[in-house]
Amino acid sequence: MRACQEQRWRLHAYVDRELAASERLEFEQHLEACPACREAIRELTELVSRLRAVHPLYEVPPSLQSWAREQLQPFGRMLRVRRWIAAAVVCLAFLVAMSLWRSHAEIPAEVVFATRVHQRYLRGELPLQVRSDRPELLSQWLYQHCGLGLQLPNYPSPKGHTKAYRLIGARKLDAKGGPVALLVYELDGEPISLLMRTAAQPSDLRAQGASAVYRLGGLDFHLYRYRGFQTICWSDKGLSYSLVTSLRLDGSNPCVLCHGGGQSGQPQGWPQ
Amino acid sequence: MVNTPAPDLFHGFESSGGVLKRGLDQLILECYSALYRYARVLCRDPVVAEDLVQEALLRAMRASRPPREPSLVHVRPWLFRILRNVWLNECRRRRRDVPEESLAADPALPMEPGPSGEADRYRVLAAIESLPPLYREVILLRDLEGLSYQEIAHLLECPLGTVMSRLARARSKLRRALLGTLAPQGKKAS
Ligand SMILES: [Zn+2]
Repeated sequence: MRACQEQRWRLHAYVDRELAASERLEFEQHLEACPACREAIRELTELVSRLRAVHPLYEVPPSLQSWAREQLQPFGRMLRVRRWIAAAVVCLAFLVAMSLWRSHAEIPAEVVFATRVHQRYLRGELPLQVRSDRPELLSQWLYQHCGLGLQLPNYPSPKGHTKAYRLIGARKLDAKGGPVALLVYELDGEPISLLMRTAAQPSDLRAQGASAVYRLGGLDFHLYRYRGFQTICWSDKGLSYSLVTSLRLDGSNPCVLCHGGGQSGQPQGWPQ
Repeated sequence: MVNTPAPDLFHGFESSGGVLKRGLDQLILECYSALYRYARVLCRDPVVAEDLVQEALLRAMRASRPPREPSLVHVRPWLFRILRNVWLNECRRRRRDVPEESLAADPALPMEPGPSGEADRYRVLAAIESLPPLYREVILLRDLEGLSYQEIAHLLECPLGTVMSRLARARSKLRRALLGTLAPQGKKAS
């Protein structure tokens, strides 16, 4: 018996068209020279044809068929409802994403930047380089390290009250437009980030996208709400400021919060 | 040229190229006859086969992860697999006729009398049913339902080589069982 006859599976794979193209070609070449394999193929083909001719071998009993239809009807309805719900959820998610994207599209870049800095500070990723609650000391540090010539104000607290907010410290950040100073305050244990930079580039602050605009002492304060934080931005004397906090800053004058109900509301002596 | 019959034996197996997207319920219904035939070949008992198919259908409807692709190519093997598991559980429960244990041939069934034109059908049916469970299963899957070797290997959870050798043995056994019973003259695969 030839070796090919011991590899019977090849005959079957050939008849079943399960041989790869190259194997098939090789086997066909072999067939030309091997009458035994040709005969085996003929027998096998005959058998397989005979089997296929009797397909389907059994008929489904009508009772079973109607039982299946009955079972599948409510199942199909449930599937369609489920699909409909899934489609509705996807549409809803898309609409929500679109509206979020639209509202965020109007948020100025400096607000996004300030919010990210504040979030990173909260996560402890931006350790302070100087810690002090003394305004004059921090003013000096800002001048030396960030080139910002300003004198941090030291507002008097109202009589009989301890001062509501407290200076914590500062650090320098490197941003695209140049160095940015981060000054951190705390109010009732809640951190407030104040970012300061020289306003060399024109600010993209605008009323559109802002939740509110306050006009005080000739300055415009823009209030934004973004990612659960509130940011107030303003520019004055060649410097841009962004203040970020999770504290709610509402009322007619948000600065009242920080300035402890200062009489005029004007950021006295700040910046120099 | 080689003078052998063209091994082009592919008859109209259910195609999956439907343009319309059908729901899982419709696809299950389309596979339902095939599922019943598979059950019949596994257990050889019309009543038990009905039970198996019903149980498989209920399981399929409860399945938490039905095939993602709503096409026959995916749904049919999935249903076959469910049915096979139902059958194996049933075997374990009854502790009889476990396919893995008995590879010896069962005694041939008596011929069912049929209409005259259907004579060969009953001869073939009896021959298939006389095969050991694993053999009649692989014959049904390949030669009657038209599954590929790969699909069969996946369904039976065994290597491709096992499918090939089992199919070869099953066919040669079947051929011997059919020897002496003549195929209708001039019958060709359609
Ligand atoms: Zn040969």
